[in-house]
Amino acid sequence: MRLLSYSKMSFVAGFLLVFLAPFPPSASCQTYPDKPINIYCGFAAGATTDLTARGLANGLEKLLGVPVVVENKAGGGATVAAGLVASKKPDGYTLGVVSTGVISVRPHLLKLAYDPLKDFTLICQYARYIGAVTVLKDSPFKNIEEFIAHAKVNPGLSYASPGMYTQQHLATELFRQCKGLDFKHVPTKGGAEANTQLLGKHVNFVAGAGQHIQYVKQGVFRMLAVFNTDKRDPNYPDVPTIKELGCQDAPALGYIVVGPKGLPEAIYKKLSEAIKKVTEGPDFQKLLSHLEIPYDYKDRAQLEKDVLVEYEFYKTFLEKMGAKKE
Amino acid sequence: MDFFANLLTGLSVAIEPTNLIYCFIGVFVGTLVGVLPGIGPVGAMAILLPLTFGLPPTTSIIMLAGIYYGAMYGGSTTSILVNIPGEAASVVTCLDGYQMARQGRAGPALGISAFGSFIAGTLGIIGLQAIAPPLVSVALRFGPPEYCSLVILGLVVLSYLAQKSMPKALMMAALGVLLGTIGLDTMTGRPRFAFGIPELLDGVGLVPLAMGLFGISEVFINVEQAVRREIYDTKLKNLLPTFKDWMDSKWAILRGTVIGFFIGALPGPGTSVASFVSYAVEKRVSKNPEKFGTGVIEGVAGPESANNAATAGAMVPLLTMGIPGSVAVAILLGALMIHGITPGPMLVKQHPGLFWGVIASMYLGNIMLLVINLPLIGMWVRLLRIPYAIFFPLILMVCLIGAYAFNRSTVDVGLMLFFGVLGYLMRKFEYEPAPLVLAFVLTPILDDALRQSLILSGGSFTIFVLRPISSGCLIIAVLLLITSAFPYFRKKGAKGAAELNG
Repeated sequence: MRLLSYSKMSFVAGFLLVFLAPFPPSASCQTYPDKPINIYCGFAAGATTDLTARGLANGLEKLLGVPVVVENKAGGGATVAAGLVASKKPDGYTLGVVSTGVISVRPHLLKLAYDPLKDFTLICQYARYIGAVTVLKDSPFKNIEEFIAHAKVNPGLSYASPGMYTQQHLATELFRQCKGLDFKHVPTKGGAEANTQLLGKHVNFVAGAGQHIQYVKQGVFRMLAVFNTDKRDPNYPDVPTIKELGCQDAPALGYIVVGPKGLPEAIYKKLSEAIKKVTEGPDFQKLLSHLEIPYDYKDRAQLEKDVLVEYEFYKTFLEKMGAKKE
Repeated sequence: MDFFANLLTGLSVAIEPTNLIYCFIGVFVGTLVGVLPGIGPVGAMAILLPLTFGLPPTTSIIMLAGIYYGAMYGGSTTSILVNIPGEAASVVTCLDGYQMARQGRAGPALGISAFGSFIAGTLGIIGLQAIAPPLVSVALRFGPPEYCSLVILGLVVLSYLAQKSMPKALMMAALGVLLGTIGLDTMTGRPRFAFGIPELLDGVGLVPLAMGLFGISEVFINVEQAVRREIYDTKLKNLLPTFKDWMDSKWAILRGTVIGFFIGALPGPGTSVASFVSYAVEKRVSKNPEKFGTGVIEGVAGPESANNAATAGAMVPLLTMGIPGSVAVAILLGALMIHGITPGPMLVKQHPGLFWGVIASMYLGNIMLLVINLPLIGMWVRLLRIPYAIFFPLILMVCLIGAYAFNRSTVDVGLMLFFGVLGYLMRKFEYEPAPLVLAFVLTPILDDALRQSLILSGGSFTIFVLRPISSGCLIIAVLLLITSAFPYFRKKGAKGAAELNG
């Protein structure tokens, strides 16, 4: 029988402390961390990003010995959370778990309170989002070729996406243009709602954002092609990538950990080592494999380089689509 | 019989000591967060989620589900005592619950909401156990056009929430619609009416809106008349509902249960809409609809039963299809996924212990909740004896902390105060807040569903008429409009005739 262990109790107590008491004055780098660390998650509680953020926090807590609290700040494609992180002091006690989209995609669409390329210390990436053209298992299309052939003679197939200008929407849009097809796009509030629309047969397919995998595992959905990725999913080796079909793909966005700009080097080092250790650890790897999220670690240097490429790609692409900044 | 065999399977899992203890922790935490304004079940479940990493999946879900339905018990407490909804689903309980408290009947109001919650919770679980699979296939048929028509029906039903002036109620509903459009537009991905404030990208929060309109405005009103305070301490009648109370509320509880269960089973609307609809229905079927809002017990019993039954209903799409209807249920889904378990059609076959264990634990949890909540009633009622000079600043403080704690956002605190002043002025000029809040809740659903439907139909409005569930909702809405217009015209006609004769 397991009751609340001491560390869990201290976690809850720490949370209450954060809730009720203002932070004491910030401590020096040598003693870091000596008070609770706050992680803003850019997506709602229960979303896959949130689940990984909580897994990360759980591991960091054990490693660093201070409470690590995840707080959900969903909205604006995680830009609300990113804006909050950017506005905080770079003392290592405020971090964000967001999608690289807050840097590479959203700034081209929204007026934001932060400068995407200047206001963050990128710490690392630990996984990436992978999407798929997904249909119901009992649909007549067994593979993407049959699907394309059907779509050619039946213009106006409808699909649900997790939202307007999400990478899933953009990848599907690229696929549509490349094969000369005609789709009706139904944006929804997120992956769960999009999947429900397919389950209820209100749309013909869904631009899956991650949670669709759970239905594939259950034998309810079938993936026809994966996008936002260069490689086939090792769990589903028969499903081709969009690139193999001769189309351009929207670059994969990543799950990243960021801090405010100007994070002291010593704190950055301690944090990035701790995060690397946690994300490589068996508990976190098990979590990722249960969620079927591909582990894809990138250190700061690699991440900074890749995010710039993403930024340029989405800038040109969104301009071409006629998406204006508002 | 399968029903009992499954129940036995479940009970054997649920009465394992670990599961019992975590069930108790869940419902206890649920009661607490329900009572505290601002901290809702979603926050508490998210905080305790990492704790479940090391637990078996069944135990995790038993505890998290306990928080979810436990919060529905606690939520009514502050609504009744001080007119501040503890969580969104208890907003409508303020209308009559608080009036009952002012008449010295806080005890029966709290009592009937505890018993009503228990009855509805238990019946809801029976419903979950008995008809979950067929219900899901019906719920899945609700696509964008169906939601759109359902919300239109809801907005028509809303007119029954008007206690005094219908035009004023409609004006408030219009204001609610406007407020509901604030935030990122799902269809275009662009912000609307956010005025460059990042916090508004996600829309105006229901918590600051409801706490401001109901709670803060109540404090302001009372500060005005603080000298006259004979209301509470003179007549504290019985603590539990009387026989007459039971007779008055028995049908309200049963109707609330059915309404709550089915609305809860639809992905989207959730517990708050269930309680609103139940209130509107009670008012509609009542022989004395004009008394609603003055402290009738049906106005408490119905909605409080409905929101509890809705939590049981919400488990239907989760456990059978893996569809989370609300954020709270999405956390339950997450807790399962963390353990590598995929909720869906295969769940019952692959993990019968988990499926039936969770359901059985909900029966036990509801009994625990009744045991926890009944003795608390005496304590809550005594709170009302605290002098106003201490009580109201205290309420104000709890609201401020609650509004801040929900998102840790000072913008929310500002919003709550703004709605507090607005609510105060609305009361001064006799505008009711309830239609505003309901319209506010329904607007985002209507907005998305309408435009998604039109995308699907290529711009043709016939999609709403050609789909049977959708057209059914619209027909009922039209019938309601006609029947409610009849007495109005008859009265007018009679009045006109009288004037002519006079």
